[in-house]
Amino acid sequence: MIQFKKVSQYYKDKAVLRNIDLEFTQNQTHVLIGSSGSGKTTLLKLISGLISPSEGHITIEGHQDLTSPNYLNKLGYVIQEGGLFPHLTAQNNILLALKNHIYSKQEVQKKIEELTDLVHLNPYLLSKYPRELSGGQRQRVGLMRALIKNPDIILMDEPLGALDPIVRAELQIELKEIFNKLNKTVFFVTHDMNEGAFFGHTITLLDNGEVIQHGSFQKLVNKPNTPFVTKFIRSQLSHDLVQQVRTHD
Amino acid sequence: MIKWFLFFPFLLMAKETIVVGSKNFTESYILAEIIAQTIEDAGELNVERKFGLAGTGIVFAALENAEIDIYPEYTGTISRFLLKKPELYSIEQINNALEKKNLIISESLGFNNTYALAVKEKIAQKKQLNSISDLTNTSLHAGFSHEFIKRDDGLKGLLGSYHLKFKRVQGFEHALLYNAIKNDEVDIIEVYSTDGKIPSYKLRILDDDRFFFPQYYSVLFYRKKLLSYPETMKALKNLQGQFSEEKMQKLNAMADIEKKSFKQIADIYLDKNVQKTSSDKRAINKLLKLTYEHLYLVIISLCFSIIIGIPLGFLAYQYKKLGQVILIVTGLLQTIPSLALLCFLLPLFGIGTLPSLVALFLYGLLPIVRNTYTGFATLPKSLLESAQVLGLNFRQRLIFIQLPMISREILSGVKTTAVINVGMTTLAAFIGAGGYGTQIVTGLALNDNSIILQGAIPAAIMSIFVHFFFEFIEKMIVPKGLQT
Repeated sequence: MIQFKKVSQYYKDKAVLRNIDLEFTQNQTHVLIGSSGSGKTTLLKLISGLISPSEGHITIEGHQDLTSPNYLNKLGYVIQEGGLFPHLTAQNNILLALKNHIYSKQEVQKKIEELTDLVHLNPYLLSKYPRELSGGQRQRVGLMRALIKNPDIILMDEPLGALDPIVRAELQIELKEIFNKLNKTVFFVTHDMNEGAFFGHTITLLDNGEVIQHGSFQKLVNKPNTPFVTKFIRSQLSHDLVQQVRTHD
Repeated sequence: MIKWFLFFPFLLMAKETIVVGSKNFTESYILAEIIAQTIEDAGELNVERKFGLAGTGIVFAALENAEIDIYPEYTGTISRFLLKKPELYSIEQINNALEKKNLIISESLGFNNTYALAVKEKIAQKKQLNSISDLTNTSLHAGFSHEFIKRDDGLKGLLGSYHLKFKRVQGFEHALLYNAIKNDEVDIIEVYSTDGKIPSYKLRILDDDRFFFPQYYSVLFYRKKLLSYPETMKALKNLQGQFSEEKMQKLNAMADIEKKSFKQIADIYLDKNVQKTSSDKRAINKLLKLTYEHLYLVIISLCFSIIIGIPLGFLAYQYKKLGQVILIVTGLLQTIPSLALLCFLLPLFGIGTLPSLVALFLYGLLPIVRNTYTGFATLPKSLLESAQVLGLNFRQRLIFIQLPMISREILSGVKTTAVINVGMTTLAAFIGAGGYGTQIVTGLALNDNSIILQGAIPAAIMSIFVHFFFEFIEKMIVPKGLQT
């Protein structure tokens, strides 16, 4: 269980998150959604331990110290374009995650083989530099890097944002398969309700630093907390799809 | 050959070494070379030459700080400019005043090289100009050296004493005055009365009928230390009274008109058999020596700029307020004119190699600091956060992520500094640190473009070489993933 208790976050007196109370179940995919400036990325950074809350606290399985190296070892983090370092080959990007771990060559080799299988990456691409890879390939390498430490929690900040629609659709399907296979806790930041509905066991809709609604997609459609929820969903999804979800409920 | 230069200082250890200095004009070079050879021939001492130092202030400070031991100077300059007591006339009076400083001047070498005003013979005849008083009702266009314009015993005093007015006064580098009058850019210039060019440029010297210009008797100006070498002192004494104004004019003309080297002129004066070493070989040796000196200054100062500049750039990025201070200070350093910076450093580091290295190091900081800072500041924050979540600590992020990713920016800062340094190092010659600038300073003194080019062309070639060298280094150092 990941719990937010009365969490607020300020940047120079400006509140970017206000009084957040949330609970996330382990081993599920949680989508954080909202327009830009809504606070969704800040929420993700709080979970990553990159920033500490100005007020309130966050506990993960009862633990509070999110800046300890032990906690970082349980995290995998993927950002747009995979967040790959341009000066390192794909393989070295992945191995960077193991800098503070001792594994034998064979173990590492085995892990990499498993992961290339999992993310469907042609192994010969591992010796390439990021600029020699396509957007989708970079994303797969980024995912491998996030997974190599076998983390409990995977954080994804608009990972598919920069991809063209066809590649994006393909990767969405593959990613979902991977999430199902791995059965990890995933936090997925997006501004696309389609993507949110596709991935999320829960969806957390944020606006202007506040949680507007937290729950399943069906709940958001059928029992919107405020008219804003419906407006946000309608603006991105086709009317048909919304109707479909309604009748299913 | 280069090895030989490395050992050069050790070869000289056997005898004690005396340093002979000169200012950067023809007569000073010639007299200094004659002094140097005279001391060498006396056999007690080795001689190091620090010629072409830029201006009285620098040479005198060098003598005071024992950076040089002897140089040719003029009585008027010592009493007015250095002691600020223009009333001191005789050698004895001046020596009394110098007593405390451990400095001595010799008896006069024989000539009075004072300022004089010169006009073209044609104009002089037409307007019947014989003395400075005759200028009273003329309206001439004057060209004077910057030093002359500033000095009390120069233009200011002259105008007051003779109640003169010029139509226009233009400032020049002293060596360029002759060209200016030759090309009719000006009608009247100031000259030194022993200038070798006076006869050949067909100039008439106007009589100083009110005895305005002070006396500038040429003397040897040296540290007391020299007194403990009797053979040397005896040899130097033989130079006293040996130079008439005409003789000095002739020696100056050998350099200015006949384009003989100072060494050749000294050889002729001292009645030596002119050395038979081929001039080609000598030229190559000289070029190698200058190249070695130049490279030494560039490389050592660059190393320090790198060692200090990169951490400063990092600090500027890490601590915003301190960063502003660092960037402003390194920027300000750039605005100090180079000669002025060298003068500021004089009391701290004297003349020669050390202050040159310090000045070059200071000038070299800005491009490296700024590029390092910009490199750090423009790295995408998201990438650094990725690295942090990957579990890399501060040091690891610096070494494995930040530094490699900004290596190209840092390197281009280093390259800028290196190329600028090659040019800037030519100024080191003004304070006796050698390098290609030596040729440029000498060439300027002689107004001889071919000598200037002997310094300027190798410097240009070196900066092109430096450019390609860093292109090569960039290929070696910048990670392949970042190369285009």
